[in-house]
Amino acid sequence: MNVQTAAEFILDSPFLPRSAEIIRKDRLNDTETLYQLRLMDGSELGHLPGQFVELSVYGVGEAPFSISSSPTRGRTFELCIRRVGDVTGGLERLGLGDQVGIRGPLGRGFPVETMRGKKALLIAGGLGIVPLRSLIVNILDEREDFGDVTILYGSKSPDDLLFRDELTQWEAREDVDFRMTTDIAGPKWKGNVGPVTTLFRRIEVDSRNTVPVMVGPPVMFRHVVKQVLACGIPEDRIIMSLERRMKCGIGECGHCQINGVYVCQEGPVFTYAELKRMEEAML
Amino acid sequence: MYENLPALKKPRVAVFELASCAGCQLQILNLEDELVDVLQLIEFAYFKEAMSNTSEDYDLALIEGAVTRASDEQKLLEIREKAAIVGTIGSCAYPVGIPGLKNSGDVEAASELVYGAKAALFPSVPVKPVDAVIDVDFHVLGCPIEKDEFLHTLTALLIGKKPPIPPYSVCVECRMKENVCAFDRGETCLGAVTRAGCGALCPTYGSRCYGCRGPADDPNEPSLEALLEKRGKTPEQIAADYALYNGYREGTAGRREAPDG
Amino acid sequence: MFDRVIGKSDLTDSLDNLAERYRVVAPVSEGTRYRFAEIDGARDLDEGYIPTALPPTKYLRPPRENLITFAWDDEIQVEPVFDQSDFILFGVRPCDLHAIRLLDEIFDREKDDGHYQARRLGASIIGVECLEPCDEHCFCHAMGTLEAAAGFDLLLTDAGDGYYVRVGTDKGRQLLTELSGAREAVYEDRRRLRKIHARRDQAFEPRLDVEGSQIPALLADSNDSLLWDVLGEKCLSCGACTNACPTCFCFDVLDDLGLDLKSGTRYRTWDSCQLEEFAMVGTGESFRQPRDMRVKHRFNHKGRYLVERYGMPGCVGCGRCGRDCLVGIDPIGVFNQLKGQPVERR
Repeated sequence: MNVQTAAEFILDSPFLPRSAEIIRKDRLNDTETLYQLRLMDGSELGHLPGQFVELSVYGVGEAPFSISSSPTRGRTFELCIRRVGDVTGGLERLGLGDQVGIRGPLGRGFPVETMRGKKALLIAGGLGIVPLRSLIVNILDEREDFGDVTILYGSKSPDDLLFRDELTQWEAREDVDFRMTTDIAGPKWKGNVGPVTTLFRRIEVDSRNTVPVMVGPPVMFRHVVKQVLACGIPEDRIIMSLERRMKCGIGECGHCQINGVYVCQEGPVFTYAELKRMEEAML
Repeated sequence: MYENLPALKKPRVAVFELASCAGCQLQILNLEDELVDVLQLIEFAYFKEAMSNTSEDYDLALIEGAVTRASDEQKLLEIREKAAIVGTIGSCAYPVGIPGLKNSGDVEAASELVYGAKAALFPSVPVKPVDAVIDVDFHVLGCPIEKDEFLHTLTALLIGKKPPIPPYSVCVECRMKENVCAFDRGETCLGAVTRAGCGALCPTYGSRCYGCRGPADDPNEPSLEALLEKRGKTPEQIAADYALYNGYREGTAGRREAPDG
Repeated sequence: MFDRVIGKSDLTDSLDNLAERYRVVAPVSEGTRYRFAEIDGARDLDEGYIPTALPPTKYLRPPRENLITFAWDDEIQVEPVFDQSDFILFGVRPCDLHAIRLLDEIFDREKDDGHYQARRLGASIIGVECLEPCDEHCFCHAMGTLEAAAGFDLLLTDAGDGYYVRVGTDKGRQLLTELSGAREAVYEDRRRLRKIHARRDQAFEPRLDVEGSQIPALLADSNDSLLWDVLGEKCLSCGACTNACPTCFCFDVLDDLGLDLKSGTRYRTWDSCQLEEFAMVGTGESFRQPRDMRVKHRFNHKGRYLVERYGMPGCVGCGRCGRDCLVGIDPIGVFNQLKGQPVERR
């Protein structure tokens, strides 16, 4: 047959990871560990806050993780990982110098550029602080580009609070209004007790110029959205990040699909206006 | 690289037998092409079907067979005490397999049928799967077990991964093989509610699924039963069909767990 | 003009010839059903076939497809795996050609997925038109997929004593040289083809009470229909429908580790939105757990989301899912019931 054969074409695999080295491992508490990674080819990851990567522990598998570090912090990047399954279990047994596979950055991140010049209301519930930290650090590193910054962080108990050293720094800053709350108070806890919505009573929201960004469990979304809407912020300015099962990360495999939308491609960051029409967004 | 990835390093393995035909132990020995590699990864401490040396010092216990005597329960408790990891191999150990047929009638009558006048010498109890007596970390399913699945379970354990056990039904694998459906041949089949992993072995060779691997995670039994009745099965026949391998229906194979992450 | 006419025995000889030199895949009969399989010659082929158990797209996205290999010693070595072997896919029906067009749109043009592209580039696709409905389950006519517009390299139409051959691509034009005994089509042949098509269009009676183009709107309007509950109760979640569907493309990605515990393969394997685990996340929550939601998602994905996103039918009316469903969930019945019922709100 006088036809060009398939073997003559040069092809690319969207499933081929780049190698990255584990350069630091910090245990944050009983379940979470912060991993600092560097791509072996020396390049920057080049991500936006809110994006994620697919991480491979070869032989065990691949799983999605949100990027927890800010792109303002150079050639390394950080993933904060809770041990829940095979990949995270395997990762925990790896040591410094071991290599993992990285695909990404993937997905749509937070709208950092459109947030410049505006006031930021950043709300994290539970593990939502992991992706939100990327945005928080980015904003604080470029503080002069943004208006007032308010950060609300709620967790189950004081023991579950992540990134404690940083929380202390944020608390100490004059140019940030940082507030924490926990569902249950511990013996040493002197702060607010209750869901993150209880912090709303203490802050003022300028409905004309504030971009609220929230990351957390569905139940938090439902309550916080109500509060934010009540402040008069339009639906298409409310930013939220969803957690779904992003297996392939490139909009093929179908696992993260909600209604007609692939969360790994069109998300994980959405506006409330985009999500409220979708039944499977579970809002 | 990956020096510490393995969760287990050359574990000592013990293989125990309760009421069974020993066919699943034989399947391990049938791994002729892989056995040399397997012995690089594990060491057998106790494996009566294969060797005469025995040791009570082991990390991983594999249990074949169903609990049919009170003494079996004691034995299992001892094993659980000693072994860090306990798994079952084959249908008799889970869901309960052919020995479970004893549960469909009177236990004493069954003893008499088998042992006649000497029945009193062989005290018997209603049949239970292993996980009704002790906590089990994993199941290798099937009557008999599949060699490949056994190997995949072994490598998963060594590398610290959840052993592969499909949550879905045999139909998924059967359709993928383009088999003619047993229902289309005028027969009936339990594939729609039975856990996959066998590659739909029986239907592929012209038979149908008898349910040897126990229920899938999400079986729609009422719908299958309605279909079986429509195809002329009586409620008694349907119950008997389930009872062949699933004579004990309290346990479930593998708890429903979150996928990998 | 590149159109040709080839006599039936000439086509048989050409196929025999091709099968000697290439891997040729074509529909073969297996008792009551058909499947695409490798053939040694034209005698293995069954021309009267209705849609095969699995669609021919299984050669473009196989049930298990290796993606990368990995190995480690001091360093990690990772290599992509591409199956770049050439083969001829003969006898693809128009419904399946439409499915291939959709997969091309997604995996080739949109995603640039080299694993799909490798197989797609290796495939020479020879379609065969349908002139009458295959059985009570098909409804291609309503979905606008009876007419094959693209997706083939060559397209054959049975014209009695021979086949009318149309060329879809450059590759098809080159394939013409393999059809020994074919002659150039003339005006009379084309006139005959028009008549065959006119007769064909009469032979396909409407089976849907709704226009294919209205299905997205019908589904959007049926979100709260009680029919989903009824279907959810019946559905066995056996995945027969999604396995059989030529436009289904969801998958899982898994690692297979060798017994050396130092090397292995990452592969993708067909997965199904009908299975409970499909939409579970790491923390164990499922965002589409109830069976009725899963059934509804399948119909919406096929009948609405794909259409909205790609502007082509996501369901090609091949009827495979209805044919294989043990409990009678058939898209013809589902669409007609949704159309017939006033929407009942739950």
